[in-house]
Amino acid sequence: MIDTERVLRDTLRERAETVKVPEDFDARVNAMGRRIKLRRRRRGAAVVLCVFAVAALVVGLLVVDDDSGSDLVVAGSVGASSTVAQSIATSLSAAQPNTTTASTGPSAQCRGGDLVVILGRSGVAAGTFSQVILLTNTGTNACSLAGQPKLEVLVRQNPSDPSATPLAVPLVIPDREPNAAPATVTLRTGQSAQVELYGSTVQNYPNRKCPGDKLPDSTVDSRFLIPDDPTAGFGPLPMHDYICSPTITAFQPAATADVAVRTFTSPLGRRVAPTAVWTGSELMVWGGDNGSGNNVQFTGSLFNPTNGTWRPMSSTVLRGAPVAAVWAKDRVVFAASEVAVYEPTSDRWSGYRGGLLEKNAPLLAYTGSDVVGWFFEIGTGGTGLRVNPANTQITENVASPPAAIGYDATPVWTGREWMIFPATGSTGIAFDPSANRWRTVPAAPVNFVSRGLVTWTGTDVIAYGTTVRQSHLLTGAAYHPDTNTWELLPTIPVLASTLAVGNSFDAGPRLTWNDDHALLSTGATDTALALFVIDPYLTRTQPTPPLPSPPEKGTPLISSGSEAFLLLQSGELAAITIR
Amino acid sequence: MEPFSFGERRVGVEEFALAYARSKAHLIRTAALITGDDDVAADVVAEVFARVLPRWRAGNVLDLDGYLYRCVVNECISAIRRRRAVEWRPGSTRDHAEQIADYELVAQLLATLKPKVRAMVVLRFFGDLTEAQTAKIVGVPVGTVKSSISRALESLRGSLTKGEVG
Repeated sequence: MIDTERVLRDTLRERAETVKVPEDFDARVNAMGRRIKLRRRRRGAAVVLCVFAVAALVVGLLVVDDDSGSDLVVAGSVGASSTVAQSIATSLSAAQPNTTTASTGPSAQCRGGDLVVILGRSGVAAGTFSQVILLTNTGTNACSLAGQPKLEVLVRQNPSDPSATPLAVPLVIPDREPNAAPATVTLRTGQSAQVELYGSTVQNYPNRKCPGDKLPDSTVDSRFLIPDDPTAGFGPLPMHDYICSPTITAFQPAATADVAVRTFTSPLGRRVAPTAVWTGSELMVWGGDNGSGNNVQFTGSLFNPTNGTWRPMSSTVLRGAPVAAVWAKDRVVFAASEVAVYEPTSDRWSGYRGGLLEKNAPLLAYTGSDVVGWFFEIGTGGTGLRVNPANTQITENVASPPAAIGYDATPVWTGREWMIFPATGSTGIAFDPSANRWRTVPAAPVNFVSRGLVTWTGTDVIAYGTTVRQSHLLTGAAYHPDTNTWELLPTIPVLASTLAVGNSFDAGPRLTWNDDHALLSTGATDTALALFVIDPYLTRTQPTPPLPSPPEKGTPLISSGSEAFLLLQSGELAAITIR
Repeated sequence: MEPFSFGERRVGVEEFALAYARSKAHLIRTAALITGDDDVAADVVAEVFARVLPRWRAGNVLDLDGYLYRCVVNECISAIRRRRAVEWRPGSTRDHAEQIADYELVAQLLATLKPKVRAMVVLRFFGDLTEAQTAKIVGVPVGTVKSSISRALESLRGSLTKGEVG
């Protein structure tokens, strides 16, 4: 008599014993988690669009081309200089603001001065080109967009030519949805509307000749014109070739984040390139120049964002300028040519030690047990040191890196590794403090263009740079430590030329991660182009509402996780929240 | 590397991490027996852990182990229905001819069973769950578990007897 149950049980168990947990199982779980999160956010964005979808308006996008097809020949790819035949001027019919009912109630028409116009997502799929143009209300009051969206196309002899010439003969770009009912989009401060430009790529046609109207390629600037108020604008369209038979959609609300900016008076006044860290509950700001260029301050203050108050820090003998600092569990470790520790709860300084290496701010990271730092030294390239936060004991237990670390490098602590990325090139290095071992990180798919444009999201390193194909707008890249691979992220509508790039300690650009978004400070003095909120995985970028004053030179961009802080040239502190 | 670090807050993750460490191997084996494919099984279990974590943190999961088990079984059934895995691949380490024959008969039986019944057989005879526990996880009445498993055993018994006689 056969014991069927026993045979079944034994067979299943034996088969089960051959099943192993894959070595990459943890990585699969994390990858799946990211994918689920992304899908959830995409669904959320789609719902928002559906809820707010509005009927289209009549479009009159006027682009003018004095010539047919191939005369607008451009040598090379995007960003290369071109010999563009003079073209395009435009005269725009005075728009008739469409005054049909607005679901969100009447408000003043948006004026160019209140709108920041930037390029959003763009792409080519199956021969169709699409480009989102994003219009953000950066004024203090709500305003509405109605009437005919228009576009003026300007031509430059080369991308750096300051004088752009309009085309000569107007070209009316038809409405993509001519039968849709007209409507008005109302934008609160910080909210965005969008229109989308479509067309066929020139490769679809014989002899690369558009049968009808065409938009020229990427050496062309564009200016978005608000009805009755032709003052808004944006930079080059990221086209790689001619776009045939363009059409444009009406204004519609854009699914962008709600960004709020609060500003607070600082008792410290102006501080150029100060030292700042988030302590878990307060923002510590210490040191920096008072703006005169030769008057470094050795005082600091702690800002509590919950009640918007500051409390002064006690005085110290620390005189490093500039000095780096890092939050180490319950204290701030300062380091430059000196080391000291500050405990915010007791407002007490301790552990002062002098006589270290180069006085410029070293790169620092807290590993969970000690502070690891790279101290620069002219001639030798520098030395890696570890500082014990408890007693500021210094040891030289850091192996030599496989590549030189520059003054303008950007460090990122991932929780396991200390990754250091150069300001140029595409190859970073990473240090494992527990094994005291360095490794070379695979080359990023972007070329870094500045220090400061790397951040850690909690799972990935996000970096911005340029690519061969796209040399004037920034393109993102994400490094996944679990797979040791990079992923190319979408291009964002931020011109590399707006970055206040430099090798000095007060060079401008900064990138930080705040909850689900990246925040990029360009260092630009134009307050409307100073700060951008980016959802790097979803190709959504928007400017923040304008800052009351330009970002301070060398201001750190510090995130508490839910709020990001930066100092302004007015001496104020700006706090940015993204919802 | 440390799992569950996909950009989420870590509130309440410790217990989840314990459940992960405790049960991932067992769940992958269970899924492999149901789907018949080790790789599909690992993907199914990875997806379940990734999906359950946010619900767990949101406080929507009370019996974590039971919930993980239920999700894995449901996902396996869906995977079979999507034809991601229809065959029960050989994986035996046996070398004795008679035992290999038994193994093949069991494999044939499982391959012919409907996905839900296959899950019941695996939970009952590999997971050592009671009929009531099996019913709860698969989401069918206890009577269905009893009758389905009885029929499956009857079928296997017939095959084994035939093999013994032949």
